[in-house]
Amino acid sequence: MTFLLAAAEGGGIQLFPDTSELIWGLVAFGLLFVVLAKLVFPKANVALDERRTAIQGKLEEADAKLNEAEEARRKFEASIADARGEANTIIEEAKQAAESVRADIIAKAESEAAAIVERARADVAAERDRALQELRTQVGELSVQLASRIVERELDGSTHQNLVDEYVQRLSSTN
Amino acid sequence: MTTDRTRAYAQAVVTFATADDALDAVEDELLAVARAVDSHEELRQRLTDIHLPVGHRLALLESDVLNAAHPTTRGVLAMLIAGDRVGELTAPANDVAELAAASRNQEVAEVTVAVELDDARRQALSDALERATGRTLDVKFVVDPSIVGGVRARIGDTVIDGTVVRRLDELRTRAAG
Repeated sequence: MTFLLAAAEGGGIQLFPDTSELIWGLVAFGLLFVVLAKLVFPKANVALDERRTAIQGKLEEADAKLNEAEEARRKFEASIADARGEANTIIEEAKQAAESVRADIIAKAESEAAAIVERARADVAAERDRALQELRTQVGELSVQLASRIVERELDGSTHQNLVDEYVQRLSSTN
Repeated sequence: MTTDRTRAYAQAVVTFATADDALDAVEDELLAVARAVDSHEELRQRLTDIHLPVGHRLALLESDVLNAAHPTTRGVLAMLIAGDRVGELTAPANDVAELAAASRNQEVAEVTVAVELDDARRQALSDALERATGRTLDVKFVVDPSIVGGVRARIGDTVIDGTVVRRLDELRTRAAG
C-alpha cells in the first residue's frame, strides 16, 4: 500500500522499497515464518504425513482388495473350470448310463426275442410230438383192431385148444 | 370188493349150502350168475334198475336156467335183488367160493377161457396151475369170449394172463409207444 501511495505521490513508479520498510518486511516475514514453522508447518507436516499414511494405507488396501479380487477371480475361474469339468463328467456319465441302458434294453429285447423263439420252437416241437404220438396211437389202434379182427376170424376151435395147450406147456416149463 | 358184511353174508350162505350138502353147486351157480351179471350190461341194468318193480326183477329167477338152480342159490339171488344189492353179487359170490375152497383146504382159481374146454384140457389146466403155484386149487372155469383166445387164471391176487386180448393190448401199447 505504501509502495502504491509513494508511486502515486511521486508521479512515477519506484521499483525498490525503502530500507526500513524492507527490514520491517523481513522481520515480519521472519516472524511469520517462525510462527508458521512453529505452529503451522508441524501440523501441516503431521496432516501431510497422516494423509500420506492414509493414502498409503488406501493404496495397500486397494492392492489387497485387488489381490483379493484377483484371488476371487482365480477361484471363480477355477470353480467355473471345476463346474465345467463336473458338467462334462456328468454329461459323460449320463452318456455312459444312456449307452448302458440302451445296451441293456437291446440285450433284454434280444433275450426276450430268443426266449419267444425258443418257446415257439418248443411249442412246435411239442405239438409235432403230440401229433406224432396221436398218429402213432391211432395207427396202433387201427393196426390192433385189424389184427384183432383177423385173429378173431382166424381163431377156430383147434386154434383155441392149441392156445390152451400152449398155456399149459408154459406153466409146466416155469416149474 | 370184500367187506366184513359180504364176508359174513358169504359165511351164512356157505353154512346153509353145507347144511343142504350143496356147497359145490351153490358156489358154482352163484359164480356163474355173478359173471353173467358182470359181463352183460343189459342184464345188469334190468336187475339193478330200482324204478322197475321188484316183482319184475325177480322174474329173472323164473327163467329156465335159474329154475334148475339150487333153492339156496335162488334164495340168495332173491334176497339180493329185493335188497337192491344184486349189482354187488360178485363180492359175496367170490367170498362163497373162497370159503368153500378153504373148507376143503383149497384155494379158488378162476380160469377164464374163450370157449368151452373138454374135460381133459380142464384137468390138464388144473394140474398145471397146481404145479405152478404149489397149492391145492378149486378151479372155477369161466367162459368169456371177450378174451378172444387163450387162458387167464386168477388165484387170489395172482393173475397169470395168457390171453390173446392181453397180447393185443401189449401190441397196442408198443404201437402207441
